[in-house]
Amino acid sequence: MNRRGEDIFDFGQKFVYWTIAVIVLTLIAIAFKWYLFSSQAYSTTRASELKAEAIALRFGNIPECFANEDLSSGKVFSNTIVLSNFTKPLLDKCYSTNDETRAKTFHFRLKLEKEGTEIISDNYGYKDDFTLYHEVFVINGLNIKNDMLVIYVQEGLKP
Amino acid sequence: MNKKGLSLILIIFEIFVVLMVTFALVSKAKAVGSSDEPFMINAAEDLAMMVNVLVGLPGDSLVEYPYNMSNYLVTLEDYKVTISKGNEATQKISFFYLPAGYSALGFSDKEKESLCIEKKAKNILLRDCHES
Repeated sequence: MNRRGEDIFDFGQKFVYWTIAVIVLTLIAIAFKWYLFSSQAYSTTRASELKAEAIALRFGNIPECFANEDLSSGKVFSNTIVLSNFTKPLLDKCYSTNDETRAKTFHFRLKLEKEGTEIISDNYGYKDDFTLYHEVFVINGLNIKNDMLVIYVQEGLKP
Repeated sequence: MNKKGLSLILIIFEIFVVLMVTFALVSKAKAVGSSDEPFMINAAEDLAMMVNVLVGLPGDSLVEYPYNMSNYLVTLEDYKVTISKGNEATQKISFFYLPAGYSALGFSDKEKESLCIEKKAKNILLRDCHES
């Protein structure tokens, strides 16, 4: 090969080398950045079950939801459900979402296992993501029975 | 230029490119590692969850947030908690849901190290833990 031919061959080799090097370095940079952001996202994520559990605590614990309150002393009994209060209008007062957050938050279906009564919150679409269980006492007039409050949880809106 | 000189320049250029890329990646990693953003997101989520838990407890209660929040402005409103460093661009918001009749209110400026959330009847208050 003459000198001019060698120069062209060298240039061709370098061009291929640098093209591959630039592509590889770009891919490494993108992968690294993606790894950093996914690590950051992972470190700021809370388990959905934990967040839903924090909200679901209220159902059997405060009289604004379904818990029993002794009106004379003002004492509230934890883990109780007054059956006559276990209605959708009261659930809507106890837990309601707004337009801004509706798509990202939780929607509930509450069922008293033995009693068979079931109510759902607004925008609940029967697409459960997970289920929580709370042991409760159901108060129906003068009768008190133990029951399981099954809380079906749907995360976000699912038509 | 002769061939030897050209390949020396190319080797120096290659080393320079590798050093530059390494520096860019390390400085990006450092920036992400030392960023306040994850702390602010976590604090906003924690405080919103604390409000939800307090709402779900019968009776009055008080809970202290166990981290130093003196670098941040924290605002509690009826449906959200906002954490910022003083400007809107950096603020992080987390939402919670109060039953009807409940209200949430409070503000903590940058000088307050300890932060408490208190439930008094149907009011959720954000305040300095040392305030009586």
